[in-house]
Amino acid sequence: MPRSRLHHLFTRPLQLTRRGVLYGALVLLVLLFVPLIVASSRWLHASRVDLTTDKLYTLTPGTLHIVDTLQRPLRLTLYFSEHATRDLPQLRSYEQRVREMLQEMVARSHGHIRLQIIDPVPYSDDEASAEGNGLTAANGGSNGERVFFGLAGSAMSGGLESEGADDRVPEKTLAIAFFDPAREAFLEYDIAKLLYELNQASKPPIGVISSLPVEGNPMLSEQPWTVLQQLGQLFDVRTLDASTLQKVDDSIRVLLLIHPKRLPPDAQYAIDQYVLRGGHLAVFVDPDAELDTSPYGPDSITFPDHGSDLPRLFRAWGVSYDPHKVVLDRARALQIELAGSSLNHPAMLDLGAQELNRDDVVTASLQRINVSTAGYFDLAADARTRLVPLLQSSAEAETVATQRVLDASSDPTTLLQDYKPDGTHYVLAARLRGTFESAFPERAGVAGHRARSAPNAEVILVADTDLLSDRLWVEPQTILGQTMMRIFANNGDFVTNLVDNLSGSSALLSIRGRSTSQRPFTRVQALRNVADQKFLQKEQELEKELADTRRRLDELQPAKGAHASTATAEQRREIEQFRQRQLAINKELRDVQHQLNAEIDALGLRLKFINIVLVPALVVLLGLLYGWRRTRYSRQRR
Amino acid sequence: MSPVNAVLRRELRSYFVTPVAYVFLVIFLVLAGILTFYAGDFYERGQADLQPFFMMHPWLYLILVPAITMRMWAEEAKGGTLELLLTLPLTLWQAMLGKFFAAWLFIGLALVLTFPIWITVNYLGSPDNGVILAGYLGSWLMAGSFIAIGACLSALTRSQVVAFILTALVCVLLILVGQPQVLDFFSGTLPRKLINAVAHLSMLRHFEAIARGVLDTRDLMYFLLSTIGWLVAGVLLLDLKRTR
Repeated sequence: MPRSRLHHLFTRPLQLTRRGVLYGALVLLVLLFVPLIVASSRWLHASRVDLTTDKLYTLTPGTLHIVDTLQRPLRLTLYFSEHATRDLPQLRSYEQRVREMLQEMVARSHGHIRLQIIDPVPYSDDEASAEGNGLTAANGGSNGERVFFGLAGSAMSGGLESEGADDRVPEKTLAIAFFDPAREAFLEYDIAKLLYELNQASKPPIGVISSLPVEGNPMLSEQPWTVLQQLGQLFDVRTLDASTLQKVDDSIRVLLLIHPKRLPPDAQYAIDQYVLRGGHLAVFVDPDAELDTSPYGPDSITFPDHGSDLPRLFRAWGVSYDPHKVVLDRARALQIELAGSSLNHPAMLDLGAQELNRDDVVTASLQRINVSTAGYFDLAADARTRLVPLLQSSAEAETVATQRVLDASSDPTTLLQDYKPDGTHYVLAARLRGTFESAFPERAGVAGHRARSAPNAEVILVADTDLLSDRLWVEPQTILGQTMMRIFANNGDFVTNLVDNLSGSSALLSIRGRSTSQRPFTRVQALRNVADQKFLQKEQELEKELADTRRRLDELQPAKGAHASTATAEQRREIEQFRQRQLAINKELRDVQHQLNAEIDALGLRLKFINIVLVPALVVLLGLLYGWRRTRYSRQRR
Repeated sequence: MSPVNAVLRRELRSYFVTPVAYVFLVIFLVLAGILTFYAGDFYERGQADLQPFFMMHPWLYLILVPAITMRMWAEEAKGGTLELLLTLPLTLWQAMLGKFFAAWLFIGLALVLTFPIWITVNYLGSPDNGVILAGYLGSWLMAGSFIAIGACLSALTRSQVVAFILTALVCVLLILVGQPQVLDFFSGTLPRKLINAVAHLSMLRHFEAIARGVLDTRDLMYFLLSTIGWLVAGVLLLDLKRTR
């Protein structure tokens, strides 16, 4: 008995009813449900499938490589004026895109990047720190507030492993002053570049080999060319002597080869091997370098030798280039002053946005580049490389012998005689990509010789050296006793972008621009264009008619003196007619405008009808048909 | 899965033998069209995407899903067919899944019938069809979660009206909970961590994340967990009714 009681004592509370179990399960479910969902949202390893066509939300391998190889901890601060942008939905949605991209980078950085998002409200410390970090504010926020939308990045002292990252002093701070939605295609590139530069301890070294006086002459108190001065601010520029060059050091990030003339074979071999080892080279050759001061060529004492070429290396890389041909382009001829008169020089080109590659980060944001007596590149028939144009001529271009351009120096308009454009867009500057073969196979025995490059080697080719000279893009201006440089073309930006892009490691190079997420209604736009065209045409017709009437009215004026009474009556009638016609024409124009807008509205209405009425009506019809068939079937069965 | 299939077929047939299904489809399509074109300014904004269309879906489901699910169990309970159903050789689970899938497929059909808007946007410009596909998928997943909520709450009561109101109420809460306005409202009174946790419960947030074109395991998991969670709760409630 005691045994049974004891048994009861222990077993009874455990004998739960089925209802009890169910209630317990419900309570457990409620208790578990919320934490489970929160936990899965916060800690579940995110793997994602990006369904967008342009893979907008997927970081490129280049960015991932940069994030993976960070040497020191970085702190990023995204400044975004929340309150001031309440009425700017486009900027807000772009901010979301920027924030998501930053968060993605942070998530992939194994804790090496910290991100902070700050709303710099007016007159706050945050606003001061945004400005102090180099951000620029845009005007036009709600209530006239200034809008901050930029990124400040700081590299922290010490290695990745040391503790207390928050207390460290920033060693270097760089910023993206404002995220311009128009540059959305290069968003990832811009941020990755910032990270890359923050991660670097010192100015990267670049090398220059030049037979032009790019570095100026201190003896004659000549300044270096402005292009070189600009590069000196960002890079450690080192001049290399081609006559003694045996090897280009691998620490040189970018090698600028400007106007290579009769390079010794050893120097050519050094450049060849540098490129094959993965070095980044930019070559500037020219059929006629106007700043070349050497008087005569080795073979002739009558012709100056102002051309340059790199025949052996070009042949090995599959590039075809003729140093005796200059591209003329009458559609892009630069206006110059010559002997007191202004004329268009067809060998000096003013390249606009249409001639610059909009998809390449080097040229995408540039507006205007001036070149003079430029040559052109093409691929050789057996080339295994690819040529990606950066600068091109218009289709109105032709090529002529360099000598003809030299002969026309006193009267460039003679170049337009017998001008025959051949419809080709000549490539004036390009990226050359692919696997490069060595131009010196006979030196295969040399220690460390490379026969070919990695598959994605890259060289930038430019067929003009004059674009580097100041006269094509800057001019000194004296303001309040100070000499300032007035920039009238983007030549300097082009060179800086190019070196910047090449120096950035191949990871940065692989991040190309992407198409933006804006997709307009092309059909409506086309309709609107046609409508605008029609309206303009009609407007011109009617204005011509109005002008005719006005002329007739004027013609009546002299008659006034001769036969005053009749002329006045006639004039009055004509004036009345003119007035009537003017009213009618204005009405007609309004009608035309209305009619053209009506076409766009009608399309909208048709689409609304199809979407709102048509399919639902079909569903109703189908339902009625099904119902009718069912009733008939059941009646038949009865 | 044959019993599930049988229930599914029976339910789907029951939708279409009465005018109910057609009325629902017509209301859904007409409302979706009107909201997209008028409230969402689809044509006037001139962008080749379906953002205004998908933006309206949570609010459309708020009315239509409770209307579909309210009769799911409440009617059976009231009409006395629930007991009959429970005597059949199938588990509660199978009955629940059958009914759930029937409603989910029905909403899927309604979504498919909105295809003219997809043709329209492709006619007007060149949209990112990957994003549109993601939008449809996200919308259908959200509908699944709403149906699971409706199924559970319909099992709670005998009254269809009560089931409708309860479902709509829970759904609207789950839509609103992650909205910045709501979070701001509580930010003074509740701790930050709790507010962040609550924001994760928002249906709208996960739907919008998918509709921008990215299928993230965390968003998919949210819909999967919430659907399963509400269905389990529904089955437990039915079981409680049976063991009364």
